[in-house]
Amino acid sequence: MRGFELSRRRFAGLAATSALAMPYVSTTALGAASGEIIMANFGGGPAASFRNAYGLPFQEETGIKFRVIEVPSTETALISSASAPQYNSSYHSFAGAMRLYKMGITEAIAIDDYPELADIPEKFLPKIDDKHLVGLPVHFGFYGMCYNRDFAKAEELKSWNALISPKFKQRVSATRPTFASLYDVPWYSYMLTGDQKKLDAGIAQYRKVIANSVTAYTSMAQNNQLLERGEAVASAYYASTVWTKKREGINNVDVLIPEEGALMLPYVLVIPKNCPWPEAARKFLAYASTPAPAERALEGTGSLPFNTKAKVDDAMIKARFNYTLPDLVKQLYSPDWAFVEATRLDLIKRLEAEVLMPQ
Amino acid sequence: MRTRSLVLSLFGYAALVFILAPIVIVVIASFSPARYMEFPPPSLSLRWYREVLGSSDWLGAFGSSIVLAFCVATATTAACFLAALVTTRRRFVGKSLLEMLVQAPLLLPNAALAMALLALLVQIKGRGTLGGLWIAHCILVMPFVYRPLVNGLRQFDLGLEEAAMTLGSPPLRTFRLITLPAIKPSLITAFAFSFIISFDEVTASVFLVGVNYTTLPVKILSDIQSDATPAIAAVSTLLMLLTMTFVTIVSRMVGIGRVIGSRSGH
Amino acid sequence: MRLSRAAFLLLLPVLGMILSLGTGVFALIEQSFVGADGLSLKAFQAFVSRREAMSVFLYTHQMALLVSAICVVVSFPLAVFLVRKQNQAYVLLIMMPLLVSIVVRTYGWMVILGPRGLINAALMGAGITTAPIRLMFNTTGVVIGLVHIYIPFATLSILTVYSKIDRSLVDGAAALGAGPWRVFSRIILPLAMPGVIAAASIVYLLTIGAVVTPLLLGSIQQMMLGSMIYDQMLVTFDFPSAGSAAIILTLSAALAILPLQLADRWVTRKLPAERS
Repeated sequence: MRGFELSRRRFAGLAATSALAMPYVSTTALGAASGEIIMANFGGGPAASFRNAYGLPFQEETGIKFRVIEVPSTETALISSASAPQYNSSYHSFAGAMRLYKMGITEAIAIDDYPELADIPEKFLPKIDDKHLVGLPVHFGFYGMCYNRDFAKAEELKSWNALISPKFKQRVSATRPTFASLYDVPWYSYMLTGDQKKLDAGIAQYRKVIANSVTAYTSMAQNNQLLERGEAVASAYYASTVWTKKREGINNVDVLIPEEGALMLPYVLVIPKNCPWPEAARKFLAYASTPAPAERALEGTGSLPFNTKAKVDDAMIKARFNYTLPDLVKQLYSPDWAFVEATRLDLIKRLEAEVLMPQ
Repeated sequence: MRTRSLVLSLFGYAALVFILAPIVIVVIASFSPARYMEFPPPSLSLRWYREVLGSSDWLGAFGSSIVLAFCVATATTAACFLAALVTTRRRFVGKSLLEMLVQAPLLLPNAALAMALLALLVQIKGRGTLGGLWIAHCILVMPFVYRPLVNGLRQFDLGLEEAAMTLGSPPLRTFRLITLPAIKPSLITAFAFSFIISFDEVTASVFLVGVNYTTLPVKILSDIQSDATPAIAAVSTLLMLLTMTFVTIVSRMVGIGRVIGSRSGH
Repeated sequence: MRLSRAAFLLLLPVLGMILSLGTGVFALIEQSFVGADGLSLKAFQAFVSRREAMSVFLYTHQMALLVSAICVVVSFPLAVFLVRKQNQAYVLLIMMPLLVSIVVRTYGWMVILGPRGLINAALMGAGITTAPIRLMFNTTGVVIGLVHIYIPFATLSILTVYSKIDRSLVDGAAALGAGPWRVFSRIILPLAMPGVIAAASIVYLLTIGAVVTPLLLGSIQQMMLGSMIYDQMLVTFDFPSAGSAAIILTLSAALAILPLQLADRWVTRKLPAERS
């Protein structure tokens, strides 16, 4: 008994000591990573797609090691590591990249360094000035009318105004002000007035959609669940989610572009300022601007290449998005993202004032 | 008397059903064969368990979280126990202030606390390391640990200690044989609380992890950005299974079988 | 009344943690309030002048009050039940929700409470209602979600105290002819009071800081200040707004639980253990 007591105490002491000492040991064991490309990307689909379509082929071609770190938000990842940059590449929306550049967190991309940019239509370049961009455009998706086919028909959703019709009262879902400020409101403003800067119209429309919603979703995971279960039957939402569902053989959620058109969602790669090994980061961006990786990325997440030289499987695009690539480009609206970014914070506050009153 | 017991039991079981209902659904949905959660699942499959257990990413994050939670629980329980020994036995200038400050991490809203901890870790260059997260989590769980320990010690009859010492028992021996067993339930509660809170913490950790070190909840949060696959449900199920096994083994080994109500006289 | 050196040494680890937190909080305050033109209270004024921010603020405190009241009322009998059960497996069961990721837990709730969920299907199937009733994506949903996840905190706080109540006092009172209600109100409740107070304060503070549950189980009108702050920090990086909101929330939370802290001190003085 006594011996047992002793060993038990010794065990407890040992456990406590090792628990206290452990963190220090591993702190010193972890060195700063260098000699590789470390990219911040959204977990799940995007990260996997970048690893397979961009990272690994790049690694094979150049011998530079490539690693994707999955994060909940790439902007948060860059901002919270700004004082000691750990990533040398990161994936963002146009507006997000503009904000990061303004905050002094990312470096300007010199157009002359990337000859392949000549193959991207000029209106898709997020310019700072004639010679610089906030990020390198890689591909785009769109914000379409996503719906559950078991509970709504395509004919009922021919116009974006379906989202505010009494027929779908409390049966649609919408995003919250933080993202509505980026996508819904600029789009509705343009759709209703022909001018994205006439925000009042867009705000009023968004307020009506919210009033018609079963809930305002918080994460893509949540809205996917809502749409799949039919708790919400339609939503202004990322078309790429429909692509990945169809890829998995789930066909009850579909996407269409109403007669007014839809919003284009462009994405870019950025390089954080003072990042480790910037030369390799630029090399990676140069590789990312070529057609080959964008062609490969399409199948995984439905990201459509900007590079006009990229060859894409239009039959697949038609099967998963219901439109061919030229059809899509024709119907998609590309707003002035600099304006969207510059007015975003004020817009969020205005939207909150409109829709946030509890009860 | 009997009807009151019956009512109590009914209430107790009803509460348990309320607590477990959504959990049971998650467990069942974790056996979905599809990429999306479905209830009831059309058929049962272990696809997502294979996926989770076969992925070094998941296992790595899982291991990191366990190590972190263990270090945090041990250190905080020890530190708060020592402090509670003093605050429950001595009056001193600044005691109220100290007790208030111990509660401070609970007073600060999650997001503010997250920013404060990030600022701290940036200063001590601990961002993205186990050591940094350890310090941050210790601060985070401190109020949850301190409170049960103080409550446990307050109810402990100091007369017992005095009697033992009067009878010639040396202080450490008294402590080990009288004090420690009496407040064991509080210690175990404190440890369990801090372990689970640290294991589950995500709002602050999101800011604090780095490229070489991440925790399971942050990995889950990253993973659900695009979709919540049944993998998350499988991870949660495994977690519950593991916790139950762990607690059962520990209680058999260290003999904390009857931690609650050990003096309730039933 | 001064501390001996030994006592001071025992306090040292906790003091270290408090000082570390202090360093971080100081940096946060600096970030929120020191603008380009020196110290500024602009962010504060901006918060107070926003009607919707104030209404979110009030809603947050209402919810905290409601949730902590429900948690205490549910947790007290639950704690008694668990103590009687004498089986730690039950205690473990009530901690299980803490181990299940909030996102999948919400999925569980959606299956049960959603417009197309089990409860509504049962109600409509039995002909009790014709249209689905709203059990989530409103205040009901948020309350259910928060009570669900904070019950373990409240129950364990009460349980640790309740399980130490000396049964001889209870039995003695009963033997002397005190009725069950009298035993409860005069003996059990006062002795368990520190646990009840701890439970109420912890749940109040946790609710005030809640971020994810209100977002997932409520709709947009159920926005709570914790979620708003988190959005401002994570999504829009509006640190001055977030910082001022956080400080207002912190101060109001401290003020709100002050009565509980005073009650705790009063109750403690009546308990025998503490001495100078």
